[in-house]
Amino acid sequence: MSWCAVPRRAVFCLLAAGLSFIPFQDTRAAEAISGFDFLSQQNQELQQDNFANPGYLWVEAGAARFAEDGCTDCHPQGSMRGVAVKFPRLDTATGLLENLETQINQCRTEQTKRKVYGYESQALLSLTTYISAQSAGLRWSLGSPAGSSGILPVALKTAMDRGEAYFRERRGQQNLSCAHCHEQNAGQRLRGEIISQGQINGYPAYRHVWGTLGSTHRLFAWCNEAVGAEPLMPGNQTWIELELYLRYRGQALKNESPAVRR
Amino acid sequence: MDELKPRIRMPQHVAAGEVFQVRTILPHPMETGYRRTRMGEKIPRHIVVAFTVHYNDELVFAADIGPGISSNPYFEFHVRASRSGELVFRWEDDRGQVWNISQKLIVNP
Repeated sequence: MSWCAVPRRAVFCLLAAGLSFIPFQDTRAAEAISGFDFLSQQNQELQQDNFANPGYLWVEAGAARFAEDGCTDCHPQGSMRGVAVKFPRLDTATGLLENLETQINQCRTEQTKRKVYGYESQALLSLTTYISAQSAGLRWSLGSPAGSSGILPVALKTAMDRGEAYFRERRGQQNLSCAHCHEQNAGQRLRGEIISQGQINGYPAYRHVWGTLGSTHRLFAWCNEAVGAEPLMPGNQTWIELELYLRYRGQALKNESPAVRR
Repeated sequence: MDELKPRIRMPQHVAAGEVFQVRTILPHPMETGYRRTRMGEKIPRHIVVAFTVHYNDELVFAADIGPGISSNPYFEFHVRASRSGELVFRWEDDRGQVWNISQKLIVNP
């Protein structure tokens, strides 16, 4: 798929038509590899076992909470296929990028008149896992249906560029960027472990390092601490922009939530 | 972990005399008591210590559990079907918390 081969005439026509869409060059690595392929065979089997995979504890809890919290007033149980892979997306009202957690809390306050859930609370995790699991096997659509074909609205592309900038920015005592490990050294060893590409297609995921399930923001905080950097607060815009870039980077991969990871 | 509930997977109907598999998983941190926080403070032990399964009041499976068992303990075992009735699953941890789940079983003669 050669996205940069969009003829100039077409670009001009698009811009002239007043649409704020931009085709962009595909700068990703040749092949996106899921964290699944870096797992031991035991963990791969564990992930694929929908009983023993501990992530399903949160899927079931999420199903119960989905009904209890009034979500079923608008969304029938089991009707959320395709929803999780639309995020992150632009909230047209605020102009901010929102992820699934943001959207759930927005629905809670605006539609069901309830209070927000804390970002890494068990309640919010169970809902995001329940909703994400219904999109298992799907690919992300980058905030808009057109996004998966290499054309993005300008505002979304700008946010994604900031996400990529964060990915390539050095930070922490170790003064490393995400790209140093997950792009330059993916496949190499870091002590006893083989470095993955750092893809997030399995999240929310059950991580053995934590002994529990966590969100992408928990992962980013962990990665920050791994290089001796002060983590940002969960739910911040910078990390949602990073999520958007990572969804683009891993777009060839399918949603595996709830995945098992080391 | 009150959000999460134990899960049981076993058949609803079995033939008399048939051996069937029961799979169980309990949400629990299974904190060993040997870990420390980054500030050096000990994280107290918090583990499940006992798991029993009764089939129509007869004990069919029991486990004494220690800190070597990882979080969200998973157990699977086999039972031979005799009469219709109920399997009762009971976990207890070292802080006195108890989980009790029962699952009906229909045995076809």
